[in-house]
Amino acid sequence: MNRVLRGLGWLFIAFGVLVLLYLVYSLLYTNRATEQAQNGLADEWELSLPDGQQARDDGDGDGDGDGEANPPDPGSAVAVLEFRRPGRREPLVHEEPLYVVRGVTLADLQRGPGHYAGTALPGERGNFAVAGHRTTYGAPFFNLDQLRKGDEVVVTARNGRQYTYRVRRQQIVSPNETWVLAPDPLERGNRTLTLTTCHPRFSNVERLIVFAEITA
Amino acid sequence: MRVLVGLVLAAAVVYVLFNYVFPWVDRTLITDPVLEPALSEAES
Repeated sequence: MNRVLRGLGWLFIAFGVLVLLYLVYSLLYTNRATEQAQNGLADEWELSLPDGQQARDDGDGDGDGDGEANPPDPGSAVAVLEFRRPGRREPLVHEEPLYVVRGVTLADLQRGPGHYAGTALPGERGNFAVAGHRTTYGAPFFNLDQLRKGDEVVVTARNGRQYTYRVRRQQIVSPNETWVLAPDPLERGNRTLTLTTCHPRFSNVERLIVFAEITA
Repeated sequence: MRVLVGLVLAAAVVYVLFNYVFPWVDRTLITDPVLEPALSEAES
């Protein structure tokens, strides 16, 4: 009996240590790793921006967007996201600009929000789709549900051009509803930005989707 | 010597937990922002 109790005691201690380690991992390690990665991407971004090309695109251009004429190096950011609400001074969704990396694998999203391969690049015709963690890894989209219709997502492409997308709506979907990544998910014929994250927080049962359209 | 071996073992366990086990737990149970078919395409 004593041996069983002692064994159970060790089992509980081991479980407690595991939970503590997970908390350290979740609340400190992942956030710090992502912060370092984002800082590195920011430095690389500043160095790579072409001089004098901070032109603003209001969406009435030729529709080519960033295009493949200026493909990013593997491992570098493809775009920068910033959120704003007209008339609001406080940060929206995330305090710092978010550097979007290529791809949405586990490793990609440890560095920041990721661009779904095969979807459009910023400003291009089609759907520029980005996934970001809602918890852990810096939780870039922790407050994505703050976005309301009319809020703006400013996307800076690698060539320095900025594209402003206006939020149309939020939607909660199942994880297998990939229609949200289609070239025109809103079926309105406009260039679209789709942001995806897990929902509810600390669960991966559903996905929170935010659709935005380029301003005309 | 035993303390050293214990420390190395503990470090190895933490490394495996932080780099393989916990990320998998996270992605499977806690936080997955990606649409599932898109993820399997990306990782294939």
